[in-house]
Amino acid sequence: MPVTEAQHLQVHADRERCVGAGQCLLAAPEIFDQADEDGVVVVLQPNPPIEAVAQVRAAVEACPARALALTEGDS
Amino acid sequence: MNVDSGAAPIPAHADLPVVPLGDAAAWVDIHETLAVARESSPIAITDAGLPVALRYAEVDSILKSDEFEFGDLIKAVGQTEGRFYDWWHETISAFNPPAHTRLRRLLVAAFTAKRVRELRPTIRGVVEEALEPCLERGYMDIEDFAHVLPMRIMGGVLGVPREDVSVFEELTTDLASGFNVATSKDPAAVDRVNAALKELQEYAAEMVRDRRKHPKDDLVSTWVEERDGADRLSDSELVAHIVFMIFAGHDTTKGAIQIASMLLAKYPEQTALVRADPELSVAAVDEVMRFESPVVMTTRQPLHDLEVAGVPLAKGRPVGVVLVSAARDPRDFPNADAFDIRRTERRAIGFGSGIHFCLGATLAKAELQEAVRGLATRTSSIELTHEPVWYPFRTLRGFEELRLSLKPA
Repeated sequence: MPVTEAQHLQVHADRERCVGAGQCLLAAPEIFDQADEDGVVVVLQPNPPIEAVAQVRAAVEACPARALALTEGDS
Repeated sequence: MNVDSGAAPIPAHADLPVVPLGDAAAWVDIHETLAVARESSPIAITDAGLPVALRYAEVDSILKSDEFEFGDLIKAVGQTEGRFYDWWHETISAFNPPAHTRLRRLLVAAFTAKRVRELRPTIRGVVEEALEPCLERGYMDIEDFAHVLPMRIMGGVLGVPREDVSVFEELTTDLASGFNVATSKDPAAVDRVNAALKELQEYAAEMVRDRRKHPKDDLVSTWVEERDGADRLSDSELVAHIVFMIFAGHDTTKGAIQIASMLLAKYPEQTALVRADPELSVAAVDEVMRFESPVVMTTRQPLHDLEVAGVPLAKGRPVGVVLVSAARDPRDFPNADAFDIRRTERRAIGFGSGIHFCLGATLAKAELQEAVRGLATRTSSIELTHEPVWYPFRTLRGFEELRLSLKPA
């Protein structure tokens, strides 16, 4: 899938929905981590570089709880 | 699994293709059996009257939907009371949010990526120890590898001495039989299940008492650890979930390791890729879990009458989501029936989806990765000695026996 013209990526994580499955960090280890105490997602880079788009999309898709979203925008 | 779906069939279901899971012949090539139905309809019905979703899209959306709740597996096999029933209903699977969310938060500390990374050396050690005698002998039976790894690793994770691990093996097998329909009809079998459960609960309670006094670097200590102002698991919840961990990570992982070993033997060109680049064990495990999902299906129950793909589903009546079929859906996986560890689609379904996604998935993957890596890198050849015969009727897939001949690297 070709990379869009979007210049900015914004990652959204819903910590309430998160169930600590950790699949996001397997898909995008530079972008996501999980807290030690309760396994909840930690977004290491809320505005990752465009090169990370494939990994972040994979993480969003891999999340079993639908807790992640990616906005790709020009502004 | 044979599920008693109870009440009269819904008329619309009469049009659905039938998947004859009660027929041993259907299990000889389960993929073929399921594909026939899947390609004609997204929803089918088993010969036992259970509506089943067969395509990835519906399986994933049912599992992610908050209009469904986890199926009551114990009730589904005909038990509505007793020690086994009480235990299951105290474990995380039996709850919906917010109670589920609370338990999940408290349990997951033991299964984070970081925690599993710390366990890698232990896991690798267990794999190497099991492999050595097989390499010397020149062959491996599943009893030597797939059957010993999960319990030994869980023993390491829990901090259970090696001599107690073999006792767990028996008790877990007895406990697992509680999920079979046949058991609930046999009072002696029910007694055996409850006796095994009682022993496991007592062992777990003793571990809790001990780790309170002498915390170690293990799972129970993590769960028992007090954090100021934070919620904790009660003693009863701790015991229930220690037993749950011993149980849940056992047959599933055993089956997965059997399957991974078989596939490495059956597809030597794929194994050669892992030999050349052991980091490919990660991708290999993902593809093992897709190509031959160890769990055939799980069930969910609608919270109210609803429809999926135009098919009416009644409130409270179990619906099967067939993981092994979703994983071979050509709509989502090009060349779905090819075992290809380099495929780029990473939409796993073997560990489920939604909020009940396998709690131990990260640990299970690490076990499988080390098993695959060890087998591939310590051998120059792995061969099947006979055509593998899948167990019929088992929701947790595997083989009665499997011997692989090995040449050391």
